[in-house]
Amino acid sequence: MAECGRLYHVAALFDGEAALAPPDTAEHAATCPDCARYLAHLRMLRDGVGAVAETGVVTDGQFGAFLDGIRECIDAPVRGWRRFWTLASMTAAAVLIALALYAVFADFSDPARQVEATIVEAPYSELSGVSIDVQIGKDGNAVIWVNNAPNDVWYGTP
Amino acid sequence: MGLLSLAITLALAGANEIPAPAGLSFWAVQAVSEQRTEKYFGGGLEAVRDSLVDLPFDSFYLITATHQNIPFGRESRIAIDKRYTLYVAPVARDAENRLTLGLRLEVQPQKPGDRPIIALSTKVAFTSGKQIKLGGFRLDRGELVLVLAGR
Repeated sequence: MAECGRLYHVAALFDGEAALAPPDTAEHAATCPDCARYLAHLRMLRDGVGAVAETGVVTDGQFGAFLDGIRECIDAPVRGWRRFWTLASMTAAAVLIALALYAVFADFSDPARQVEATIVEAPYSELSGVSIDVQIGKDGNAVIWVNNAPNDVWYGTP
Repeated sequence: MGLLSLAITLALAGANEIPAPAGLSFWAVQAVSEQRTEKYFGGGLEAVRDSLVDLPFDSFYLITATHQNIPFGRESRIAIDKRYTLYVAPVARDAENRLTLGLRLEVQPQKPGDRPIIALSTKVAFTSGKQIKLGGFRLDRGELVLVLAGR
């Protein structure tokens, strides 16, 4: 595809660098189909870039809100597993403390334990014909009773 | 490591520690049925009144009462009257502060030279504040009741 050899001059003229282009460049571009097409292409590019090259500007009136937005993002709590494990650890510690306090202050003096606390072992008597009853009350007190003790010689008048 | 050594040393020291003498209180009571409408408690029975009130007698008289500190491994002899003698021997005090006592109540022989008869022999383990009642032993009038309490 053959192209005009003066496209470079047309581009220089388009960029405002007329010193790099011969004086008849504009006249040539108006009559040369290649240069005319190239010039149209350059205009299209310039218009497109100009449409997207508008840079946002923060004015003095917007600057306070702009900084507030930055601070809000900085102060926002970080979400993630770290926060979860912190809460889990605190909960576990609270449960352990509660259990320890319960073990220290709980009242374990229920009647069943008191009964276990009193023990009577192997009651024995040499008196003939007697039976021995052992009772341990709910209050932990014990009664050992010898029944039918004979009123024999051992119990005579002193 | 240092704390572990200290704990072991203290534990060994505690294991070899001789327990303090057992503090014991005894009441020997004559329990009699005298056909009273209300139960009668003689002097000196205030501390054991609640223990006696449910027994099937209506009159209670103190024979003797004593409070002793008896060393472990020793046997204490407590004469109740001319016939009955109680022997008490502290055996052990466990980790729950439960005191184990050996008890033996003997009846003196009427014939000189005969050996005493064991009216009751047993071993009891109880904690401070609990009471042990022994009863059913014949007296000339009524029955002998013994109440023991440990400290």
